[in-house]
Amino acid sequence: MPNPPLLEVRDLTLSYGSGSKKLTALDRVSFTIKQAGEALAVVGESGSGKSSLASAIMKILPNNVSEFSGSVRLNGEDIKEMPESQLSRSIRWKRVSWVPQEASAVFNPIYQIGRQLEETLGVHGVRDSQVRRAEAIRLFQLVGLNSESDLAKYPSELSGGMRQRAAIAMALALKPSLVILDEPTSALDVSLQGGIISLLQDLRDQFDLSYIFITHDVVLATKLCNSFVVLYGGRIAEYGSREAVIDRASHKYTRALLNCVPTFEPGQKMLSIPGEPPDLRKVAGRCPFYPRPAIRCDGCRENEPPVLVEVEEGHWVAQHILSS
Amino acid sequence: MVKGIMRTIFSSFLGKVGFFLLLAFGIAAVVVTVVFPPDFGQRIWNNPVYWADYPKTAIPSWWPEAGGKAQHQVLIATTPTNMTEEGAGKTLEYRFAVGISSQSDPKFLSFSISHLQFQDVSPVIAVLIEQDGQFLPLYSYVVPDRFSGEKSPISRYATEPFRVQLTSDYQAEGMVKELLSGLRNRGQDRFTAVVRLNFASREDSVEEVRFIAGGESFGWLGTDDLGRDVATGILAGLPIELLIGFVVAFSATALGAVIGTASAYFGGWVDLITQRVIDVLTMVPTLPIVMFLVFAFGANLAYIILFLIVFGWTGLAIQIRPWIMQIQAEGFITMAKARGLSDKRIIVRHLLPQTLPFLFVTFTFSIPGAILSEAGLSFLGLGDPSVPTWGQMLQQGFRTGAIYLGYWWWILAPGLAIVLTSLAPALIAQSLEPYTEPRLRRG
Amino acid sequence: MRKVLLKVISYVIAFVFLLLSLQIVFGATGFSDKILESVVNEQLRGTRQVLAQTIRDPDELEKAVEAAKEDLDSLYGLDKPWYTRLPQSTLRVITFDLGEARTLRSFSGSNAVSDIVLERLPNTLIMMLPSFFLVAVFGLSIGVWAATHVGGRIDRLLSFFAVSSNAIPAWWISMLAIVVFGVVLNILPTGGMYSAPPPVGDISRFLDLAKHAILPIMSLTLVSIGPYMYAIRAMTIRTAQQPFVAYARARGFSESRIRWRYILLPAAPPISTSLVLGLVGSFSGAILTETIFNWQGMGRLYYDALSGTPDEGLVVALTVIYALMFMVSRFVLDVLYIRLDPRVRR
Repeated sequence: MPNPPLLEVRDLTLSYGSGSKKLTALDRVSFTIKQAGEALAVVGESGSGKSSLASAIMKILPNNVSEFSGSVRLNGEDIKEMPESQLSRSIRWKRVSWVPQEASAVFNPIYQIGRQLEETLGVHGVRDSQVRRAEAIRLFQLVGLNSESDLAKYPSELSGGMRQRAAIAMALALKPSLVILDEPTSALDVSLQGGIISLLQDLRDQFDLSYIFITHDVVLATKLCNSFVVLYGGRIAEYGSREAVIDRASHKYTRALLNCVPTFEPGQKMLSIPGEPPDLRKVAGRCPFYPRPAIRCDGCRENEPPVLVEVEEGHWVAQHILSS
Repeated sequence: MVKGIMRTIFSSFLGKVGFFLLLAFGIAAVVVTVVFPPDFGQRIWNNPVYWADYPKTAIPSWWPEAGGKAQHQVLIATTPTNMTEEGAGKTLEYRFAVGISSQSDPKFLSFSISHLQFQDVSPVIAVLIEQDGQFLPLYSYVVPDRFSGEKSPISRYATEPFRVQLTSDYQAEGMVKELLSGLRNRGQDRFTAVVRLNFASREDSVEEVRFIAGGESFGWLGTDDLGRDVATGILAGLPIELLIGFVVAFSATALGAVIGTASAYFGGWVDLITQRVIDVLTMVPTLPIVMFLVFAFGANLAYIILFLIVFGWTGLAIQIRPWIMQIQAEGFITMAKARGLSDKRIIVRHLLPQTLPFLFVTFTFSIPGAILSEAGLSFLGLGDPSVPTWGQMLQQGFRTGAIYLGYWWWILAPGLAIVLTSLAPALIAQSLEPYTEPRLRRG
Repeated sequence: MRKVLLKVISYVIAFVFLLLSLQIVFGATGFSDKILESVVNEQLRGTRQVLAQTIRDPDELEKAVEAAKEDLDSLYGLDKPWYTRLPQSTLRVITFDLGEARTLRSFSGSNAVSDIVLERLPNTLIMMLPSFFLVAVFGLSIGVWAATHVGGRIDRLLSFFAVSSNAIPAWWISMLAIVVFGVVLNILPTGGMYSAPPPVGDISRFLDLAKHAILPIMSLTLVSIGPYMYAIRAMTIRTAQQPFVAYARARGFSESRIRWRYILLPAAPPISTSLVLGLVGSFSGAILTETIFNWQGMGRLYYDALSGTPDEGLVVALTVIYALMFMVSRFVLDVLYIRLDPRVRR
């Protein structure tokens, strides 16, 4: 029997609030990461629901979640249905970790960075303080930070780029197999982005890491990822390998998104998609693309959500089933 | 924005309760202000003469324990029931329906006449009981005639009413006893008393005639040690409490908003000085200092309000800074300045309106504090004596030992009034809690 | 360190400013003159008696008394306007020479203000410290508990209770408590610190005091606990919503670890600040409670000094003392806060 895929997400649905204020962040999202070393890009604009994906997979949810269904299988085990204590003990950070979007906000401001790193190690069973220290040094060196001086600094004393690297170091502390990166470079200058991306590439090669790379920057994602999920209004518009989605984009939204990326050509007319991103409170049970004619699916109908249709092997597109 | 605020208030049950409670109080206050005379405090409330006919520390009439006791009734008439003119003179007849409890007789029966005026010959007063169409005379009196040198019109009983206790008057007491026992035997619960005034001239007049059946219980909320009707006192205090609450809360909020905004906006030494001033003001204990100031300057309502404002504005001035900082961080102010708007315009037309919901919440939230502070001051004896506030009622109750003597109505009523009047805005403020978060502000 | 120094300076300025304002208020409203006049008159009465023993002629007696009065006037500075007396009186306060009370006396009969105050202060503390302890313990535990069960029925009840506490005067509750427990049910004393006559023997005296202290402490506690509980709940919730809490949870930290080190610890400085501030503030509130329960503490002293024939000297001295106590505690708090928060330290 072949090994189960590293990560298999099926029909993941996440809603907040209730009644008229019910917000559907993820609507029947499904994708698979087959084996180690793969990197999946989750591309979407603000309001697409991509930010909720990280919380959903790690099951760190706020109080007002009203609907959370589907399955999330890590190496065959459904971690979504796992009890909280087991998740904390064996899954979180050990097998799946997370580099958050605002690296500045997640570090506890009153403790030094090195200490927070060591704390993570300590909580997960590394008893010897010397070993912890050595690990912290090693991790910092791995991400290109100065292990001597930077470990002793407080989060506020590091620059944005350094904090991002520290967050990556933190994510690698327990040698997970899957790392979820939530917009790791959005807060950084362009000149620093490349450094982070090549670091991620190196780490992937070194440790056979798999990534879920959540971003709005399609071009950046192509540098790192070999499969793509395009998210819109909480739904998948298109899903497949990088070549399939980028070179042979099928859904109108994907194509429009790619067209919007500016090139170096002077005098190029900047394109945009007319209309507004969907209100996530109004998408349940409807097609999110319908209100914007430029990006409607094939056979788009207003009050019917689209389904994913495999247009070629491993390449799925949101379409509406023709009813007879 | 007003709609947004109203919607938020109504979205919570308690918010609705608070709103309607406050509305009810507001309407009641307006009614009281219209109906009660403006000098109520001095002329009526603090005037023992006015309350002479009322029982002292009487229990409320609806309290079960009072069932055994007679209910005190003060029947007041300013216009006669009947007027007959005969010859050059006239007779004014005042009829009073007096209730009798089945369990106990009234403690006393009396009548009083205020401010008689006559031209020449003095009038005659007669008190009778009407029963089955017959009139039983109880008492009669000829008003003293003109003294030498007195000029017409002659005035009697203007400052002090003419009061006769029928139950102890030798003329009437026997008859009264018979009457009362007769009524009880027949199981009747009321009788009609008639006061007749015989005037020699048609221009003669009388201002007010009262008939009183003494009892040990009275009114909705009983009476205090001076015989004052507690319910009347509570009503009279309502507009004043609301006034204090609103004026202090509004002024302190407005002052704090303007000063705090200006301080955060201009920064530099303006900010420095303002912060130092605020430091000084917050470093002093409010209650003792305000007590001291009222003590030194005198217990005048205007002063009290002023002092409460002076020590109340600093809270908002501090709290509004993160709001202004937030707006600054968003570059709004820089943009406005780039557009050439003056500082004053930016602050007044753009900054303050953005913080209005928050200001409204603070305002509503400060009302209970103001009311309670004034009540505390009144309780300690530092209230304005010419103005009847609930704190003063509690003070008088405390001073005369009402707690130990068990005059619970005197303690319960003003306190409950304070609580309810403060609770209403507090509930409203609570329902508006989401507006206190700077990140959630709307334009 | 520089911050601490700045704070010291501002506190000193505040205190001096307060002193000056107090004296200006007192002088400008004519009270200062009144006090001194009455002091002079008291002394004159004594002088007159002494002089009357030697001088028989009434006219001569009057002249002698007049001369004595002039002497006293110039001694106390009454012959000059009140602001000339400012530097002297400020100096007196700074050196803690608080003067004498005019009408009130300490239990031992002394009329020196410092004696009177020192006698009453412990009584106030007897009432306030247990109440403070109760508020801290219950406020913390219930507040934190409510923060972790947000939205539940008990949480909403608590919120309502806290909001209503804002609208209820503590002293009125005290009055009701006296009526209910003291008069109607007659199980607790209605006031005072000891029964009359107080029982003999240390233990029974202590028990008697405790019995008398129950109602005051309970009313103080009950009204302070509501808002405090609510504030703790709010602070805890706010801290719990910080991103680093989610990050800690994502890293597999246990709930208890998160609750203690990531929620409570960062929330501790503001919580403890508000606790101490509350304690300090309740010193003023104790004035009302002590008045109602006839509790011979500093608050009651202030009330006594203000009511009846006001004892102006005592009022001024007490106001200064209150202000001083308040400022010192806040100053200590500020310094502690500066030391505690490493962010500020850097």
